[in-house]
Parts: sequence; C-alpha cells; structure tokens
Amino acid sequence: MSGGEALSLDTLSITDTQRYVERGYPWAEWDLLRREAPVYWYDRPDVDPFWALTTYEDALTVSKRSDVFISSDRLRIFPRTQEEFSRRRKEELIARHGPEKARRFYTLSFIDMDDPEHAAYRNLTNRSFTPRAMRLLEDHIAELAERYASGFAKRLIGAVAERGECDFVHDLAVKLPMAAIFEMVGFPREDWEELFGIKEIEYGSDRELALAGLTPEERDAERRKANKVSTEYLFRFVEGRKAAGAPSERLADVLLRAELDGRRLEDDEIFSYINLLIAGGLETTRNATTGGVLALLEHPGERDKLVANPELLRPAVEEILRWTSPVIQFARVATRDFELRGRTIRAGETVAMWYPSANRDEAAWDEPYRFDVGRDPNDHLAFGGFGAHFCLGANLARWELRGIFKELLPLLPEMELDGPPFRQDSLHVGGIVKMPVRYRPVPAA
Amino acid sequence: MKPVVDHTRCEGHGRCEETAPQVFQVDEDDKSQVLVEAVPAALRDRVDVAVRVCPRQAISLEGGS
Repeated sequence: MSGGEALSLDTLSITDTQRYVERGYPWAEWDLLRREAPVYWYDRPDVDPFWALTTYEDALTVSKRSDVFISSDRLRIFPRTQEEFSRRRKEELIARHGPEKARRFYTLSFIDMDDPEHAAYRNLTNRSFTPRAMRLLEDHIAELAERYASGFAKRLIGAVAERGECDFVHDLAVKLPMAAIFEMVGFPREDWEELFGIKEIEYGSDRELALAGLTPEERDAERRKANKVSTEYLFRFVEGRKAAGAPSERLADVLLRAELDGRRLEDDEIFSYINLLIAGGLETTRNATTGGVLALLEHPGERDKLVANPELLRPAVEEILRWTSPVIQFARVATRDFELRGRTIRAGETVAMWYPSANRDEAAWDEPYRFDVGRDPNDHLAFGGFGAHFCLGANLARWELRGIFKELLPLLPEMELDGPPFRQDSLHVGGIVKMPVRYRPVPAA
Repeated sequence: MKPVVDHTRCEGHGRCEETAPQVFQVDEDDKSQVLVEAVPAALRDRVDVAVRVCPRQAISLEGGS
C-alpha cells in the first residue's frame, strides 16, 4: 500500500488515466479489490460500468470460456468520452454504409471476432508465430538486436561527451519490435527507417507527442498525416506483392495466397490483418523492454545476478513480462448468466480482466511483489488467460525480449536513470513513453 | 494417467512443451506430441499446469493416476 490516504471500495479508481500518468499502475487499488471484492461491479461516472475481475483464477476462467464471454461486443474498457466517440463513429458508419458493410469497418480484425470466425482468420497466419517459426527467425532477431543495442550504446556513451539526452524508449525500445514485425510482414528493409518515424506517431500515444511540445491541433494533424502516409504505403506495398505473385513465406504473401471458405481475402481484410499484427506487437513489447530495464535498474541485486548468470535470461524475461504486464485489461461481454465466486454476471454485462493484478495475486504467486529473475515456474498472464484469444505474438515477443536483453546485459551495470520516467495515459496498454537514461561508468576496482 | 493432445485444436503455441518438456514436444508440423506412455508422479503437477495453460484446451488426461 502506498501513501497515507485510506482506500475504500466505494471511492477507489482503477480507470483514472491521470492516475496512471502520475503514479503508474493502481497496485493498492487492485490489492484491495482482490482482497475484498474480486468480482466487483465497477460503476463510476467516468466509464460505462463493468465487472472488475482482479484475480488470476477468474481471468483464466473467463478467457477459457469464450463460448460464454465474447469479444465482438466490448473488448476494452475506455474512458466514457472515448467510448462515446467510438459509438458516434459506429453510428455514422452504419448511417453511411448500412449495417452489413459498416460492420466490416469496426470488426475487421480477428481480435474483435468470436470463434469459429476468429479461429478461421487467426489460423491463416498462426504457424508463422510458433516456436518452430521463431527458431527459423532467431538469427535474424539476434542480428537486429545486436545492431540496435550497439547503436544505442554508442548514443548512451556519446551523450555524456555531447551533453546530449538519451531516451531509452525512442533510442532503443521502439526499434526491435518494429523491425521484427516489418521483417515478418515483408516490408523491404530500405523502407524501415521511414516507417519507424510514421509508426511511432501512428501507434504512439497522444502523450508522447504532447511531451514533444505539440499543441492538441498539431498532434491531431501529425497523426492524420502519419495515418494517411501509412495507409498509402500499405496499399502500394500490397499491390507490389500481388504483382510479384506473392511467392514468399512473409506474412503479406501468406495472406494474399490464403483461402477462407474457398475465397481469397479482400484488400481491406488484408490491410486490417497486417495493421493488427503491427499494432499488437509495437507498444506491448516496447513497454516490456522499457519496464524490464527499469525493474532491473530498481533491483540492482537482481540485475547483478542476471549479468553474472546469463543462463537466467529465459526466466528473467518471463519475470519481466509478469512484472511489467504491459496489457492492462481486455473485456468480454457475457452471452448468458454466469456464476463467478457467488456473484451472477448477467447476460449482456461486461467483465474486464485486469492482468497486472492477476500477476500480483497472492493466491497464485509466492511473494508476488518480489522481482525475481530466477522465478520458476512462472505461468503469468501477460499474454492473456490461455484462452482462444491468447496473444498470437507471444513467442515473437519472447524471442525479441531474449534477444534484446542478451545484448543489454553488459550495458546494464553502467546505465542509470536520468530523471523520472514519463508514464502512459492509456487504460489498455500501459507503460512508459519516455525514460531518460545516462551512462555512468563503473569505476575499476 | 496419459495426456492426449487433440490435433484438430492444437495450434503449436508450445506452452505445453515449455511447461513440461519431458512430456510434450511440438513437432515440425507445429503439433504437440506426447513423449511418454504414462506421466511420472514427479511431473503430475507440471502436466496439470500444461493442461491449464494450453490456449486451445487441446490437452486432456486419460485414465487414473
């Protein structure tokens, strides 16, 4: 528990984005919910009401019962202002295109679908994300990790001489997740540098641009511009792949050749699919990387243990995933009444699974608030509750994190924070948008 | 007790192999194969976890202990 103020169920907030910016994840609030009301009807002025599920076991139950709890209705908890914006957009689309066509605009990605439709789309690419596929990509990821980490090291060390600033997020954490998924999709390497800039704006948060000093109008204009450039790029790229006959095992070609119920995918389905793969892998892995470095800097004993024992890299990465839990929540809607811990979830009501809370659940973990790079077993829920919607890119994220942390190990003892990290204002993917770091050579003994 | 993997459900996530590598191995077709005829007592807990963490609920247990 932090601070002196007394928390109570009636007044606590887990949906105030300002709180996430100022103090990070609401751990004390989640602790109280798990202890006193693990299935809690959360009804506040700032959000549409939902059942807040904060335990490990309940996140698992809901994820696995995707026959009861569906994704196609309400998939995330957002502040009410944002929900109203989405609702208005949906209504406009229906008015303009009719309900059938409009549906394609807002549930075009498989993440918003339910089985069997969800599985059919997902299975078009899932073999590109298995451990076997990752092993084929391993050398590639290692090479990219090495390149970005050594570039970052030069910048970190150079920043001392030049009195420059080094931001771990922008100068390193953003790069490998983008490069890896671009490689998998098949974007040509000579386009990456340009795409990095566009994607950072497109998928970055408003807060990042605000930190860069842009006004709300300028931020809006920047995002629109990035969105336009990105859409045009994807269109040209897909046309190019078609012209080339889509022969490769890269994801764009796989999707172009794919058949679904005896038909090829429409262009807009391919665009949405690729955009989902990109979106899913950027902020999440980036925040696990940044949050992992922060955790290691804050726990020098664990850092030293890992540096001295690189074979701990695998469990350390799992612990970083548990510790950082970049995805804060996903929601589902009940299709029929369902009993959970003696409470009745009514058909039509929303449940939200708060993954970071599940990953600190005392009932599921020994000493959940201890950051332990050797923790084993570690069946965390950072990728979801082991249900139908379990993160498709989980293995890719693991391989990326192992790759980048392997390269970072020698640097970690010589790195320190250069001011407080700036936190994200999202209720969905949390983490750090900017983390100033500086080089501090370890004096020779 | 013997674990059985339903290959129509298995998507090759590899969580079972990660959890209990002595019992499960994902093959070149991305399907999990069971390596043992019976699960040794010492691995029972890990096999139970493997059943739980399978995202497709593809693993079931046959027979008693």
